[in-house]
Amino acid sequence: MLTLIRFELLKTYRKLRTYIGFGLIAVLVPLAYWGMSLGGDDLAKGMMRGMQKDFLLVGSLFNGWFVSFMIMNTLFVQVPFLIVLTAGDVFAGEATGGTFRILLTRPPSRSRIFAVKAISTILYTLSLVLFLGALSIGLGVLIFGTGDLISFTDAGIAIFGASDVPWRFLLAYLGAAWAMCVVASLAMLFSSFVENAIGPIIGSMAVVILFLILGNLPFDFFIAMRPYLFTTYMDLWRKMFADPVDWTVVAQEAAYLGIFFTLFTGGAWAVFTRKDVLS
Amino acid sequence: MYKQCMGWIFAGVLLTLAAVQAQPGPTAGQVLKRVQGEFEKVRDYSADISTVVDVPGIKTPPMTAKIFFKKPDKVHIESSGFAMLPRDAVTYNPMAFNEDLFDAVLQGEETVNGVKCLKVKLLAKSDTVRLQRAMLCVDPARWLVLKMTTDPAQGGSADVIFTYAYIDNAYFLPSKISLQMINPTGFRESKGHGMKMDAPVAGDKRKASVSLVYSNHRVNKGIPDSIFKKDSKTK
Repeated sequence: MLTLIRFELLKTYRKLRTYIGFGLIAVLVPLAYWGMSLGGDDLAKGMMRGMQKDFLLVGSLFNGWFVSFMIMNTLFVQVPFLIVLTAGDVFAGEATGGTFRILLTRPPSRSRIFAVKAISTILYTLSLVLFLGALSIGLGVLIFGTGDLISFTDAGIAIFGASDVPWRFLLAYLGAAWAMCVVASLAMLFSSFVENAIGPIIGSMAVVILFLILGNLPFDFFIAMRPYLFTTYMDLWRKMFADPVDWTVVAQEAAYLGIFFTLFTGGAWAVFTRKDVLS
Repeated sequence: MYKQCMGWIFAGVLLTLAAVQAQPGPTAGQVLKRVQGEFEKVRDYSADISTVVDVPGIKTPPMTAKIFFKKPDKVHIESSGFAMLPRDAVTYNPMAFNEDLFDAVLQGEETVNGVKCLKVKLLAKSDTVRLQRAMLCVDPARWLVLKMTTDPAQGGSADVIFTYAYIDNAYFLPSKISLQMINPTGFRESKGHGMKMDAPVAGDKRKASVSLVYSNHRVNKGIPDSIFKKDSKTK
C-alpha cells in the first residue's frame, strides 16, 4: 500500500499542474506582504478607529500575526480553487491520459487504487495548506515580528496577547486543512464521473462559489439551507480566533465536515468501483 | 460675678458662631487652585500601568504600559505590546482645569468612598476644548479629585474614581483609576454580519469599565525631553 501511495505521490508531484497552487501562493503571499508593508499599519489602526474617541491606543497591532491572519481571510475563497486543480484531475486525468485501463488491469483492487488516490490527494491538500501556513506565518513573523493580534468575530473585536496566538494559528490551519479536504473530496467525486479534468475543476469551484453565495443570502429560505451546505463550516478555522473558543461548536463543525467528507469520498468510491472504464 | 462670667462666655460663644457663619466657603476657583497646588509639586513622574478593559463587544487581555509625565503637559505612554487606555483618565492632569478654558461653579457636596467632597462643575468656555463638561468631587482635606464625571465633545461620558498613593511621603499621585463609561465608541454587536462601528444607538446604554493600576512611581527624578519625542503615544 505504501509503495502504491509513493508511486501515486510521484505521479502527482511530477505534474506541472500540481505546482500551480504552490507557485501562486509563493508569489501571492510575498506580494501581499509587500503591499501590507506600505499601508498595513493604517489598516490595523483603521480597525480601531472607532475606539480612538475614548481610548488612547498605544503600540501597534500591525505585526506578523496580523498579516498572516489577513492572508488567511483573503485566501479563504481562493485556496479551494488551487486544491481542485489537482484533486479534480485525480481520476479524470487517468482517463484523459488513457492510462485507466492499464492501471485497473494491475493486481491491486479498484478499492485499493481508489484509497491510494484519495490518500495522495489528501496529502497534496495538506501539503498545500501547510505550505501556505508556513510561508505566511514564517514570512510574516520574519518581516513584521510578533505581537498582539486583533481579530473580528461575530461577537465583536478580540485582541489576543502575543503568547495566546501561536496555538490559535496551529489549530486554525488544522481546521482549514480539514475544510480543504472536504473540497478535495468533492473534486474527487466529480472527477470520478468524467474523463476530462476541466469539468471537475470548474464544477467543484462552481459548487463552492454557489454554496458560499447561497449561504450568505440573508433570506429565510437560504438561512434554513445553511446547515446543509458544507461551505457553512469551511470557516472552521475562524472559530479559533474567538475568545473564548467555543469548543462545542468547533467539534460540531469538524464533525459536519467529516460527514460531508465521508459522503463525497464514499460517493467517489461508489462511482469509481462501479465505473465502466472504456478509455 | 458668676452671672457676669456666664454672660461673657455666652457672648463669646455667640460671637464665635457668628464668625464661623460669616466665614465664606472656598470658591470653585479656590478649590481648583488648591487641587492644582497639590499637583504643582510634581515636576515629572513615570509609572507602570496595568489595565483591565471590559468594553462590550471588545475582548482584550490585561495590558501594561508605562506613562511619562513632565510639566506642563507632556505625556508619553509606551507599551511593549498593545494597550488601550481611557483618554480622559490616563492623561488626567488637574493643571488643565484652568480658568482660561473653563468656567467653574461649586455645586454642593457629595460623598465619595466615605469622604465628603466638594463638587465643582466645569464648563468649557470654547467648543474646541475636548472636555466640554466635567464634575469634580474634591476631598477638601487633601485637595485631591476623588471622582470626575466627564462629558467630552466626542466619545462616551464617564465616571472616574481616583485612588491615590502618597509617594515619597510628599506627592499624591493616582494608584488606581476605575472608570465606567456609558456606551463608549458606539460599537454594536451584529451577529452574523461582523462588527459595526456605528454611532451610539438611542437607548443603548451599555457600560464599559476600565481599571488602571499604577505602580513603580518615580517622581521628580528628571525625565529627558527626548522621551516625549519617541514614536509612540505622545501628547
